[in-house]
Amino acid sequence: MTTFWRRIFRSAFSGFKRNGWLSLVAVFIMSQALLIISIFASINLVIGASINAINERIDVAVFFKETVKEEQALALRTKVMTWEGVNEVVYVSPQEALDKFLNENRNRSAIRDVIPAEENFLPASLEVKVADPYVIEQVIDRILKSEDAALISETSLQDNQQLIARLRDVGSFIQRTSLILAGVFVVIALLIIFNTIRITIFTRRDEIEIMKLVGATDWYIRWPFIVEGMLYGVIATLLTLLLLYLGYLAFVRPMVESYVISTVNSPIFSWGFLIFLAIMQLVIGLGVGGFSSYLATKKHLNV
Amino acid sequence: MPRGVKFLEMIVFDKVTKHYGTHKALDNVSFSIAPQEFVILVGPSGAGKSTLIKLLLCEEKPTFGNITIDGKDIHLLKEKYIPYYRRQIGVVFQDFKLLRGKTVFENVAFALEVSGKPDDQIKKEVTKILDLVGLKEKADNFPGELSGGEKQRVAIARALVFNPKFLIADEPTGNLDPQNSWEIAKLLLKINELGTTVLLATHNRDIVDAVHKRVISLDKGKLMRDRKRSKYA
Repeated sequence: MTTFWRRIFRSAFSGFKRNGWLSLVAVFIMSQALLIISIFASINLVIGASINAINERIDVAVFFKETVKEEQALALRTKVMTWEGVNEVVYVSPQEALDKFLNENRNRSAIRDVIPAEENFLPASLEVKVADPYVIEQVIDRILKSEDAALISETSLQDNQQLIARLRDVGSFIQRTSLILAGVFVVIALLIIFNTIRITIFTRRDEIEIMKLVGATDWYIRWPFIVEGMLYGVIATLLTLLLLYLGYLAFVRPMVESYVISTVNSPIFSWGFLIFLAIMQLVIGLGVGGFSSYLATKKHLNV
Repeated sequence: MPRGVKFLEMIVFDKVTKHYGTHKALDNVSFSIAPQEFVILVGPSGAGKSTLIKLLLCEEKPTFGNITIDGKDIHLLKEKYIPYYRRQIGVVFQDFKLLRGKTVFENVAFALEVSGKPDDQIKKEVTKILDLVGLKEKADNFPGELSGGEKQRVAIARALVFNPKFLIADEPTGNLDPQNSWEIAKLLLKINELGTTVLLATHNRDIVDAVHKRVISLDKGKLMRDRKRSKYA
């Protein structure tokens, strides 16, 4: 069995070398496809992270009437916390609200001067955060329709609604578009790769025919081509990683150095993402290379 | 079954008919070949010689009738056993079918590699067989550097390296000059004397007359004549 695999690998490597130009073309096209896929994966990750960050900031405040006691407010908080889609509910007491307000306006003495020190005019409130901005209206709606509605004076939903709607639209539009574009590019790339590998195999169909006639089994003929296809994938992965690194040096690092963007807290500049990209490229490269070769040999094996 | 086919017995064509669409490439052909026999297959282009060889190699299946070796129908072989069956038949073609990217040695060794033999044994056997066909000195040359006759001898060496009991030569002299053709014919006779059954398809009249062996004539798919020690008719 080891003799078998040794011969398969030797044959694959010599095939790769002897068909130098076609091998090179196949590798370049494959790394181009991997590059496109990697770039789209990065874009999607960045957009996803940004949308998450925005979602986390979307919250709605529910203001209580002045007569409401703290226990009643905390009871409502406990209840709302158990609802599906609700991430966090923070109770803000009138004192906390005042502290926060004063802190935010500490440099504006004009505002501070008109605030009476002993009398707190701010109501208590609940700040509701949700996992998905789409459910925020439902959550507020549910509060206003429950028996606790009597406790509520008003919500900030009206103010936030326009902003929320716009963010939702932009976020989902960008993600949808990039997904569709990535899909189209991937399909095009796969077709080109498949065709390139088919051409390399087509130029060697007489070789396949001769192998069959001297009594080679189908798999003995097929494996070198599959290994060769996978070899394209491995080399294309290395090339793509190199290109990504060069791209980073050329475009991203100058921006980082001039503080246009920050690499801190950005998920695409982590080792984890780099390893993910490398593994994804390798898996796609091996899969596409091997499978294309398998399909392309299938036709010529019917001697 | 596959390793059961040993070519020690008769190869029997029993009422073999092959249609390609409406065209009858072979029409009700029956004959048999004994072990260690030398049989020449003659006939003009389109007579059915190539079809007959394709059927023998299990590249095609007959439309009617069957071909048996050792009393076993070769077309009942399972697909996966066909490679093993083919390793017992040496085949030589008019266009040599050598791999351009491999040396003479590699072209012959390649056939043995396919069967999974160890390297040292391959080296020994290939050297021996290249000696037999008289190409020992050209072992490291590529096919492009050889004459037509030499190429055909490489092809014969490749066909013989399995030590087959049966050798099929399909127009082996078609691309060769008379001198080289005669060299190839002599080589085939020598191989036959060493105990291999030979089926030679040709329309080279000189060769047929000089070899002076059994001749089967085909025309338009039909078997016209089957004569022992015959001349081209």
